[in-house]
Amino acid sequence: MKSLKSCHCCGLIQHVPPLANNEAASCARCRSRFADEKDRAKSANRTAAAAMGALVLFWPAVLLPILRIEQLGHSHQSSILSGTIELFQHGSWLVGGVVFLFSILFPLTKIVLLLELSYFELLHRQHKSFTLRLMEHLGKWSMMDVMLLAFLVMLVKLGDMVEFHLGPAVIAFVMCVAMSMLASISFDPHLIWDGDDDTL
Amino acid sequence: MMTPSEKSDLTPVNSTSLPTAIVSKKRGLLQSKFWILTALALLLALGLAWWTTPEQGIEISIHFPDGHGLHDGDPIRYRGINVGVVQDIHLASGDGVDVEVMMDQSAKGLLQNGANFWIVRPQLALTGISGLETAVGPKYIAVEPDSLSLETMPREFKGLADVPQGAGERRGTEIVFQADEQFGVNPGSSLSYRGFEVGKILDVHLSDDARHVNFQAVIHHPHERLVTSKSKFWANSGIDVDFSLRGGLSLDTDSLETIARGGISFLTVGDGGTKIAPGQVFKLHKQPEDQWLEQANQVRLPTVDLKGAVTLVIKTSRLGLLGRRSVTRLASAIPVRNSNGETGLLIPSDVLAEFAAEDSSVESVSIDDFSSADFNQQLEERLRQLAATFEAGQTAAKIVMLPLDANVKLPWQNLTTAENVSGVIAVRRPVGAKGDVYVHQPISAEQLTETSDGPLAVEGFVGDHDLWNGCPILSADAGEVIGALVADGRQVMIIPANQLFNE
Repeated sequence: MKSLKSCHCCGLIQHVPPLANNEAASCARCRSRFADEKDRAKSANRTAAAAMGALVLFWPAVLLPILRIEQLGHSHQSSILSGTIELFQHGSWLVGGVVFLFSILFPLTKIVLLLELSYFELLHRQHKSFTLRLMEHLGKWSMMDVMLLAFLVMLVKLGDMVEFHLGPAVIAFVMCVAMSMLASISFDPHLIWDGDDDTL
Repeated sequence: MMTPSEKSDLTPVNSTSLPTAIVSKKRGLLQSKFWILTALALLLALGLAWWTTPEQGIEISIHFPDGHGLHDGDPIRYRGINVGVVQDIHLASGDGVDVEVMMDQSAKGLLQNGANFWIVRPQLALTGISGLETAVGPKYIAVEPDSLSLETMPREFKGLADVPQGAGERRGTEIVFQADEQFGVNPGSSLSYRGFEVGKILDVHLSDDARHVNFQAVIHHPHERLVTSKSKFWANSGIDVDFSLRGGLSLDTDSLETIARGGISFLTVGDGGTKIAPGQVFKLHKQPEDQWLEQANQVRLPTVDLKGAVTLVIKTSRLGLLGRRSVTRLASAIPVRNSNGETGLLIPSDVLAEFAAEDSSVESVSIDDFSSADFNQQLEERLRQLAATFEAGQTAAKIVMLPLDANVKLPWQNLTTAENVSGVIAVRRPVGAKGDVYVHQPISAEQLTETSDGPLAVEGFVGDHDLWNGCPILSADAGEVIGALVADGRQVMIIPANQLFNE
């Protein structure tokens, strides 16, 4: 019974014979490779490492000054967080809220959830599916990379009127986006239930 | 909602077979190479955090009567560069505002007791516009340290209400005038001697008993010597209208600046006045009396004697395209006597080249005013001897000593080695001048820089290098010959007295 497996690509249920160390199984219909224990462990490890890196870089990206604007000698510098707070202080609750949700809260949640799913596994199995779904939905709405694009647009459009200097947070920001993308790519949802099969 | 056990019932599993645990490798912490990336990320995060943490500065607090629209983040500047940043501004508990400032560590030396802080803002006046950059740009706080104060590093300062007059300007002697009225004299007005600005009015205020107006003024160095206890001061009205039926209307105006801001003029009208002391009080007259100018013209002010230079005249005939022609070469020379009683003539060494040049022949050598046949011959002989010992390449820009006998009647000068000169005067005999006539050019101490090998380099010397080459340098204070000027076309230098005899 243990040998029955569904192909993750085409869904064909088939027998998978016990494999030796240097063997790998592929789907009879679509030739997709079945991931074995080792692959899963590797994927989880990668995801965890990348997510951890993203988490570490998230804080300098959010807290350090990301942009210094100089206009006629007046210099103003702000980080993502202080910029959001300023938006709130100016009464722009909607914009501030949107920036806070999509640029700070969602990306952070996504990274933390990825880390939890791939490495810590503190949650019960039952909640894992919920977590996974949450992660996938949040991932769509975490707009860190869009923010970078916004900076680029500002640089191009406002270049002559005001002087822009990107702060040190930009490096952290770029790296954080790259790391969290790496984590998402290397994440294999199957590994959530990996090893749970036999507890059924 | 289904429990996991219910769910498991739905699956076609042979319930008799117990699930066997799968033996799998534990996910080790460092199984993936990706963890290197994580470590790098951590390093990067720490590095960025360390990089952006500002260097801990010195926190000070400055109290100002008025904020003038200063903001957080505005800079503190000293001589045009930022030395700190405003961190916080809030109303003081009493009156005015308190400005919290983070000063750079490098600006530690500025924080002395008595250092002046003021907020720079645009100021428009007829005499000029200042602080214009702050009209559109940020305001800033300027700081000027007190060079006399020894106590450093206080944490609380009192800022000035107004931009101080003459901030960062030249030093001088402060004097006070007392008058019955303000006479239109304002802070920043000029203090002039024969129309030449020698000082500035710093402040105007009512006296304690409100019966006078007091003017605080500074006379810039080195013009203090113009003022003695016999000096008379009066206010410039700027416009002098004289109307008579025969002469018509005569209008005499000063510069636009004086008309707008007023000013104070003075003359020293009597001999034997004592030197002024800082803070001395003078009466300010409304108008000058007619005889003052007349009296002043007879006064010889205690000034340094311009002396020392004689003109060496060398007549040569040179072979040119149109045959031989006569060329006269003039050079400054200083007749000096050293501490051993030896006498000689200090001359720029490039005149020796006249004797060495192959296409020229020296016809006669003389010194203006002291020319006699015997002396001229002795001079020429000595010059030829000296030129013979000099090689061609060696004659560039130097002062050389030409030994002469002491019995010649020349205005011998004692060479003095001066230390800490506050300013010097270069003296030259005008070409063809007879008698006691000299041209001088003051050189301030700021223009002088010491070089490692002895001579003082002179910045910004105005004057023809050939004319001034070899002229004596007098100290501005005592009028003693302390060296000689060497101008070799590119560079102007002063060779101090103690090096002249070593040549």
